[in-house]
Amino acid sequence: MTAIDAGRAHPNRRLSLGMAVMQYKSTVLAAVALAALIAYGAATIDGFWSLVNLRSNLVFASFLGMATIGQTLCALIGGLDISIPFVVGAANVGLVKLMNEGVPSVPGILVVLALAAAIGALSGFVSHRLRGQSLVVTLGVGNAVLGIVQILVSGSGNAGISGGTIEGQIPDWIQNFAVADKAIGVAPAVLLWAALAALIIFMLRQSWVGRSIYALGGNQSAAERVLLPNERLWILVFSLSAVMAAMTGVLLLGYTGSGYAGVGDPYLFTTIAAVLIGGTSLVGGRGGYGQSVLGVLILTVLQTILAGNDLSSAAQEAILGALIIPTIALYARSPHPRMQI
Amino acid sequence: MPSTEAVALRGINRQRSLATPAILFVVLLVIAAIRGPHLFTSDGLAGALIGASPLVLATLALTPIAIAGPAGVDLSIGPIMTLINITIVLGLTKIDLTGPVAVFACAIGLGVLLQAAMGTLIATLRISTVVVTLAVYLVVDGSNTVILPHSGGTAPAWLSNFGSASTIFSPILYVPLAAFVLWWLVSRTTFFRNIRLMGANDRTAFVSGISLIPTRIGAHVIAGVFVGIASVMYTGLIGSADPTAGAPYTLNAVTALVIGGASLGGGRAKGIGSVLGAIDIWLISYVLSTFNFGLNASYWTQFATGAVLVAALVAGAILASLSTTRPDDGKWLARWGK
Amino acid sequence: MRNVDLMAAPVPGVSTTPGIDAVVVRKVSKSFGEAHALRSCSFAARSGEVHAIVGENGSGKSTLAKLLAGVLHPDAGTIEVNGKRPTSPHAARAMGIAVVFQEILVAEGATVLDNLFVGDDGLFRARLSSRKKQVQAQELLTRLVGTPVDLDVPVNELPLNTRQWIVIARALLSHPRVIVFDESTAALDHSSAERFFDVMRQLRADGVCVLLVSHRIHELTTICDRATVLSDGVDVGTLTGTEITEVRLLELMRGESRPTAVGPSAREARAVGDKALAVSGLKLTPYAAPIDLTVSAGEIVGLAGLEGHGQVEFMQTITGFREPVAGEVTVTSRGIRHVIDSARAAERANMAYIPGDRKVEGIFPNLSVFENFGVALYRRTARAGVINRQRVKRMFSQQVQNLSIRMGHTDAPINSLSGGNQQKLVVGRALAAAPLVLALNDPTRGVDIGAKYDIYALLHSLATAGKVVLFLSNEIEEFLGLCDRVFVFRSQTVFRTLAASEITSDAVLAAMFGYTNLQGLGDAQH
Repeated sequence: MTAIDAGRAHPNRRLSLGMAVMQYKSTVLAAVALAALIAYGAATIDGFWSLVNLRSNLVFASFLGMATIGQTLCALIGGLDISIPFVVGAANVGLVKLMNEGVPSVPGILVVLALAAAIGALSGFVSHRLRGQSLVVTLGVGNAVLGIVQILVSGSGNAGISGGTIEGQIPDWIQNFAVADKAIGVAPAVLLWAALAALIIFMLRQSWVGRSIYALGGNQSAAERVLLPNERLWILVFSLSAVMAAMTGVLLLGYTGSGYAGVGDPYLFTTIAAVLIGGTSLVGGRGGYGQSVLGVLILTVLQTILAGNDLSSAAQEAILGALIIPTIALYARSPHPRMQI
Repeated sequence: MPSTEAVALRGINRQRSLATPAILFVVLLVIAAIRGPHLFTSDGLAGALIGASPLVLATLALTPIAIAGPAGVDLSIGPIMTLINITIVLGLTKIDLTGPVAVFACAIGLGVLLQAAMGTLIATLRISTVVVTLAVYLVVDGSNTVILPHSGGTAPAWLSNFGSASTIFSPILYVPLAAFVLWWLVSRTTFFRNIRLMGANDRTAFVSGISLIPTRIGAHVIAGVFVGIASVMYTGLIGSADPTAGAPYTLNAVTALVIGGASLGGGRAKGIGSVLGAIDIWLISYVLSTFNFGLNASYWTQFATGAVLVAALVAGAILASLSTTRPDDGKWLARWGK
Repeated sequence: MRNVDLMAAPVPGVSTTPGIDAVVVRKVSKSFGEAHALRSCSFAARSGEVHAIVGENGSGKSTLAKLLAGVLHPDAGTIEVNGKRPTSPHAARAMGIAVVFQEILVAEGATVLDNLFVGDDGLFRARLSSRKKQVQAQELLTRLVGTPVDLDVPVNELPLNTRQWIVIARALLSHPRVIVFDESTAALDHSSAERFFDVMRQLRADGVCVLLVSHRIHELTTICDRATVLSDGVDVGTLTGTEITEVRLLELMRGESRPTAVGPSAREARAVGDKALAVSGLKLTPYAAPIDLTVSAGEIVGLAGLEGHGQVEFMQTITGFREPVAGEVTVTSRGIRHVIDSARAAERANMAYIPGDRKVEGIFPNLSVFENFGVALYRRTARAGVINRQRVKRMFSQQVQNLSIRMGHTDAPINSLSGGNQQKLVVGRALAAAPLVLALNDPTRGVDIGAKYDIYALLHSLATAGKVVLFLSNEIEEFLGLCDRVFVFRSQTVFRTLAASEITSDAVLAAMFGYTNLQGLGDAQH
């Protein structure tokens, strides 16, 4: 129907600037929005550029950013991970319990991450078999996991959980992770996030696994025909998502100083919001983690501005929600059915 | 001519999406009868009705949206129920309009208004349901806490009496019954069939002359009516206004919807399945409350609900692959779920 | 089966006199971005005639069908049907226009009955009672499909052939005055295609204006009263009656005439090499007769059969995508014997399967032209998981040249290519892995005539280079002059193997119906 008669191929010809802007419309928009927000924040809020504010913003962004890694990968492959807040909470209280039981911190963290990987693998496996149902699969898995972890944690006497909170001795090195290091200027958590972000972006662009994730998000059946390992990729993506969520839970433990099962709750919808605002489609196959980083930064700056204007966290939530629809309406509208006949 | 046996088998096959919630219902009922026979007294049933009806009605509200598909998951229902709850308890009391007619009219009107607005955004902007309802979740949930930072107020007396009814022959029975009758009537209309066809394949519906925008908005309007009724029952249950207690209804109703056999792909969901799914969720917490879990009861409920959801999904997929004999046309991967 | 009365009841509101222009298209233009689908296209079609719209892919035929359906609106010019303009599918339906689109548009989870009457009901009341719908639907479908169809079955549980009939029946049940068939026989097997001709004859007799869009030349020459040829969005001529011949149509379409097949001489020039593919005792279903055969390097083997008789399953089984009930498939590649028990094993044995429906299992709509090629090759060329884009680019350029794929930017979306070029890209993707055995599932479906000949020539050159080519097609004519042998499937097994000298349309058709000669064929259709 739409034959573009452009003669023989010019395989090395690059896209024109105009076409590139069209193709990366969402990224350009997100970058412009971020710049505008920073400019507005700098102009209206005292101490916006202060080191304290920047540092705390970055720490906050690194938590959200790490939890968003999984959500981005899941969105790219054509799924959604609702279990992120549950895994964040489960890892958070689970690690305290392990350390209270005498497990040293490093092996404790490794155990938590390994369990998270297994849980994610289960979500990925079942979600792949039940095509398109990852939202409800992860909802079920998340609830089951957080439920069972809280039961296990509350098992023994005074070291147990009460009202979702569990106290314990958090080692200094975990606590310092979220605090700006004098030598490097930023908190180690921020560096960890930067390293992971670089790794994930490289993986998505330059590895066959990353390219295959895009292919799967575009057309699962075609991916099967060119022998991409669909099931293993789903398992890998949801595993990574759960591991990143657990990592976020561990870092949050250092930040807050005590275990709390509900610590992940804000990450249910903010990870999705960051993915969407950055410009990754929930349908799959379009976007990337670079875009999500933009989304995370937009959310973080926005929250600073709103808080700077003395808005409560509830009001911030409402404004964030109100921004999603116009943003998505700018770039992520699905085509009219008439264009799909 | 096919034998009557074959016809009967086919009929059962057609209803297979109801198998999981129905079996679960019977199993839970049996356990409940053994462990907590109090449920089967007039008092117990009344408690069950008032406890379960907000979730049952909320799940029913999600059903037309799920049918309209694709990925028709309404995440906003919890905060919207809360908003209506606050409006009834604080707003209507303030203007002294607390009669049943005013309360139902206000609740249903608000529900329809919000749902119609979301339906309009989804249909005209062509943004996915998950995104729009997620945005509305955040807006309404945030606003609820801004409007009412802490729980308070008291529901109109007649409504609070719902919650303390000790016999089933009271409004707590009549309201859900009326809602079911309404559902039955609506689901038999040709308009509802159009929603179903649009959910199954919107392009087919479009080229066949079904106007997609009004049909999609219509699905949301139907949902809004049931959201309104659910909010009234919810207000009766808690007897006051609470800015946060309604939020969990979102994920609970989605869970009930899926246990009830709805396919989030669109086109396939049944009212009776949603009702059963919601009752199942209530029964799970009832049954667990008969054990001595003490402070852990809520954790056990969370675990059991999640596990049952995953089990129901897997069981549904296995049932579907067992009873479907697919002819070949590229969909020959007839292993479970595929 | 001949001359069945399709519309038993008299059709209300249809009082068209044969010979009057029912559809008038005046200087219609339609563009999609920079691509001009139609440029000032004009023609008229009368009621009571079968009027073909012919042209290569991208010539604007399907766009015309969508404009008539009210799905799209013209940028310039007018389309009038009995004096009115179709502004939406809803309006078009009210005007008595029915369009059967190229894609089989059904509501998957819904029942056959609901699918037949979708769009027929009013807002709150049905136009027809449920009982009347049942009766009308059962009567019509039984005639079309040949056997009764359960109206309460979800339509996705039915074979493709039946679904195609359901879509056609839906159009007929709306009692159209103008009906458009856009490639509506693509999914029909041969006996069904005959019944489809009967449908068109009956519609013509009833005074309906039938517009037929088709790539199947023999359909056009058999049934059409007139044929309008489009080229690059412009009407280049209308042929009447006996003028409609393959040569004339091709001349108009391309401004040149082409040979009708690669030619027997080309086939004889190929040397047959060593045995490469061996199938022994292969059972596709528990009660099917086992299949034993071998294919040698340098052979092109055609796979034919009525739909559902096992040819597609056979192709998927030998390429490891489907488990056989019994038996073994082996491939000897570079002196090593491989047992094919999975798709990965088939890949190791240098086998490639090229899927039929490119939209469903060929193309990644979100990826660029180049990435659509690359994703299949990144993994095998990756080092430590990191892709080698330069190497894949070289493979890409080579295949683009080899297959003469026409395209704009390599980074442009895949949808910027025409259907034929998309199909070539899917083939090129498989060829880049240098396979020994190629299994192509109907590679020319929905591809324009120019690209078809390119694909035939490609298969020939592959075989000449010592590859094994298995070629499944629903168009018997495609086997002629191209294949060394044709396996005709019936009842999930190879019913007959035709040697090169035996391959004729009649012989293949007869074998598909279970006869070894044509004498029986007449009986088979009754």
